[in-house]
Amino acid sequence: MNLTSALLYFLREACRSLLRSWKISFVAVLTMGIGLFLCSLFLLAFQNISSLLESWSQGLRIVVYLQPDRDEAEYEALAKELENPSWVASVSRVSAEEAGDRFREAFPSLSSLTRDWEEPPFPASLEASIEAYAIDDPAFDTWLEALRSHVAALMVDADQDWLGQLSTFLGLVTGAGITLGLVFLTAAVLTGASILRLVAHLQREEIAIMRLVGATEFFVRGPFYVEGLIQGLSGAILALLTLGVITLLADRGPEQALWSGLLFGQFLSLGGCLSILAVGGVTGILGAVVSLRREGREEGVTG
Amino acid sequence: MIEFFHVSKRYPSGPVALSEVSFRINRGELVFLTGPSGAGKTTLLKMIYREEVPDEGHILVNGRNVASLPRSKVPYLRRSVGVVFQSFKLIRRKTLFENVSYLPRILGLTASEQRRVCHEALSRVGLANRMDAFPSELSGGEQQRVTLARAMVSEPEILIADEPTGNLDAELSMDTLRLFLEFNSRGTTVFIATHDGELLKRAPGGRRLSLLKGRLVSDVQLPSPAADGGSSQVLAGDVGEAR
Repeated sequence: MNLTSALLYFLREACRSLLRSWKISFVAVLTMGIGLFLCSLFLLAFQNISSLLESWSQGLRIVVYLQPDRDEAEYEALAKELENPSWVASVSRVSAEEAGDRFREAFPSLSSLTRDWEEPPFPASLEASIEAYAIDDPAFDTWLEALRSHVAALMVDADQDWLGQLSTFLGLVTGAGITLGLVFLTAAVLTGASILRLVAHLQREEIAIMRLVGATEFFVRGPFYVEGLIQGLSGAILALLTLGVITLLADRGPEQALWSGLLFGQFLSLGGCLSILAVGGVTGILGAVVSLRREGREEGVTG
Repeated sequence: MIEFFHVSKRYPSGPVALSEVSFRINRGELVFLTGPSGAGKTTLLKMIYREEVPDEGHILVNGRNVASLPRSKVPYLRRSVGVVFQSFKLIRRKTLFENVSYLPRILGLTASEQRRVCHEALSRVGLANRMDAFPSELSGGEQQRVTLARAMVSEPEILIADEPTGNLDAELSMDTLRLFLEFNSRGTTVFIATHDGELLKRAPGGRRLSLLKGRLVSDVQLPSPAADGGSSQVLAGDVGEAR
């Protein structure tokens, strides 16, 4: 029998078996679907938080507030130090008056508060826009510390600090996702295996006859692998559909909470969807392998 | 064709199943294996198609040492050995065609070729017109004929049967024996385990191996129809007319 006709035979037998024992097959699909749904939920959160972090990293900015009453030469030395590294895209100087104007523009209702002040309310500053890769450069933190300790610097405000915290949070989310996903996928594999083992047990007479007349193990086990694959893929499709519905509902909801934006901002990418389908398929096949390994210990042709 | 050399087998925590069994069966022979229950008949037959392996000794089937055959080669051995059981072992939810077509399908025959060879196999046992019937629609004798068709669908060189008439009445037993004799007359080596004395009396010749407590205690030629005054004439004359 050539491979194509063997695969067609496996597919036909697998479909027959799924239809014949549709109730237990449904339980297997549902269990795998739950495990895969949790995996895809964490993948979605990871994807959305990562893309948010990436977009924020693109607009990374450092503001160095200047000590008042310093020599111009010191300010220039600070500006040079700021411009020096390759990750600094541009540096601009903002005077104390400009800073006051910006404040009044941004918060017109509060502008009256600063109108009568003799001194400008905000210090002058140097603003530097930073390339995203700077965060991963080990020299970045040292450079930042040097800026902070500069005599002309009053204070250094860097977006990198809270981006780092968000990145740590993302790491935690990913870790929790991987752990929970593995737990649920293991449960899904074992459930699938138990169900396929039950199916194999129900078909033991037929399997025995196939072995008796000279079927190879590939021919005997093929339909079970395909059945596992179908169950896994069905579970993955179920998980993706459920996630899709939840994403749609979150998107159309009357009030969008921050967490809902973080989790469901954008649906899984094509690569993400294909990964979930692949994980589903592999989970199903693993279930079949485990079940047949157990069943194989009891194999025989005459029962 | 089939050779046993000092074959012994003991099941774990059980009695000796076979002890120092040696014999040779030539191509085209008709051999009956007799002995009381527990004598080791089934174990001996299972060794021929490598369902069991001996603890000691060697078994050659068509020149291949079955005991040391790699697991991956066992299916190819089994394709050259047709097996019939007392309990038929038919799949009740499958039609006769589906029950008989396992091997043709495994061998990769097309759907029409499968249908053709199954039709031929069922014709030989007189059930060609019941291809789409289910086993539950058949009598016990007919079901045994289906298992015979399944065993012979690829025309193997060896046909072995374990108490094939154990579930059949006397008349149906004789009908089944006629079919075995017919396959034997076409050159198939037939090896039947039975403790049906009547079957042995009606057999037109052949050879009888007797087992007792795992030991081969006799190996005799059964009287041929001419030698026993013609008592087996009816069966011998019927060979080839089973259809």
